[in-house]
Amino acid sequence: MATFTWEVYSDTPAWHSVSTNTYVFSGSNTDLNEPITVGTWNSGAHLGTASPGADACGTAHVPYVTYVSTNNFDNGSGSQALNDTNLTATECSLRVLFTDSGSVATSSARFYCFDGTTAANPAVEVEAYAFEQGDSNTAWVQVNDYSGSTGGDNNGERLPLTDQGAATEHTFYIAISARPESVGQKTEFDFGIALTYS
Amino acid sequence: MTIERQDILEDFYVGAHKNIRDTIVDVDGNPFNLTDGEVNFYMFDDLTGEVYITKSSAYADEVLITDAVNGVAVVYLKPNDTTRKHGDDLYGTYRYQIQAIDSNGNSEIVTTGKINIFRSPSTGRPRRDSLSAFLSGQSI
Repeated sequence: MATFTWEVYSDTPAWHSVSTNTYVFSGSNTDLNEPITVGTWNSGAHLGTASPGADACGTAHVPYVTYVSTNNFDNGSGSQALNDTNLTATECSLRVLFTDSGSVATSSARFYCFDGTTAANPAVEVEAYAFEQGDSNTAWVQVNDYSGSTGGDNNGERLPLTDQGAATEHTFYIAISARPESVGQKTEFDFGIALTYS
Repeated sequence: MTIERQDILEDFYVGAHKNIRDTIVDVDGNPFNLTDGEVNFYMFDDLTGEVYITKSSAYADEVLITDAVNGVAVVYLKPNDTTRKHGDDLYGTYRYQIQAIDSNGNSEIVTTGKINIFRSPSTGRPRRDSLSAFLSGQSI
């Protein structure tokens, strides 16, 4: 059976399943309860047991990636050019595994941001950018801009992921940066991944 | 004896399974005895002669002789026979031939026809999954 597993590089650190936890963006790389000032990007990322609940990162927190500009990011050492060398796989926000008992190829894979209910709708009062590591990309892709009616699983409003050849396990490394468009908790905010396999 | 115009013009799509069951007859119209024989399948471009798919009963997952005495065989076309990378899927009209070889090694083209493959937008199985996220905004 084909299954997805969302993972973060934390704790020991190593890749661990997110399981039933929530992916939390915060204004601190050590405190998931620290809000993000409206108009600024996240400077922390964590796993929370709820929204946000208790910190479930383990010893090492989830690595955060901050959007700086279309071709730059910051993950704690200042602005860097966005590419596979400067942003390594283990520095990414998420690793998504797609596994199947048979050897299958993937196509039309994409990562998107949505309201948690309808895949075509943007997350509410959030702006987010995403980047696929390992595919020689050099630019962020805007995956959500609620005030600009951008987001959801729609062409041009999501991150296309590379087609992968036949294998029983496929990995997608994704960096994400997000910021609030207004004051308050943003819970109509989910990530989605979709693909076709054969 | 060659049975002509055994056209397969409907119900076949890129990336789909297709089983072609053929009952092979000899020159007298009697069942072709396939005991210790062989059946081969070829799909090719009628104009250029380029062969795109070959199948043989030497491999049971390609062609299976289900009733040798009565000349019955099934050709198994699989999804990756018609799907190609970079959008070069096999669709359109081709010609196919089925060749039978008896236990003495005598070969004959026993069935021919056109085969039409339709394009399909869904050559695979769609899957999706989601992850809950959260953030909280504070005033400047």
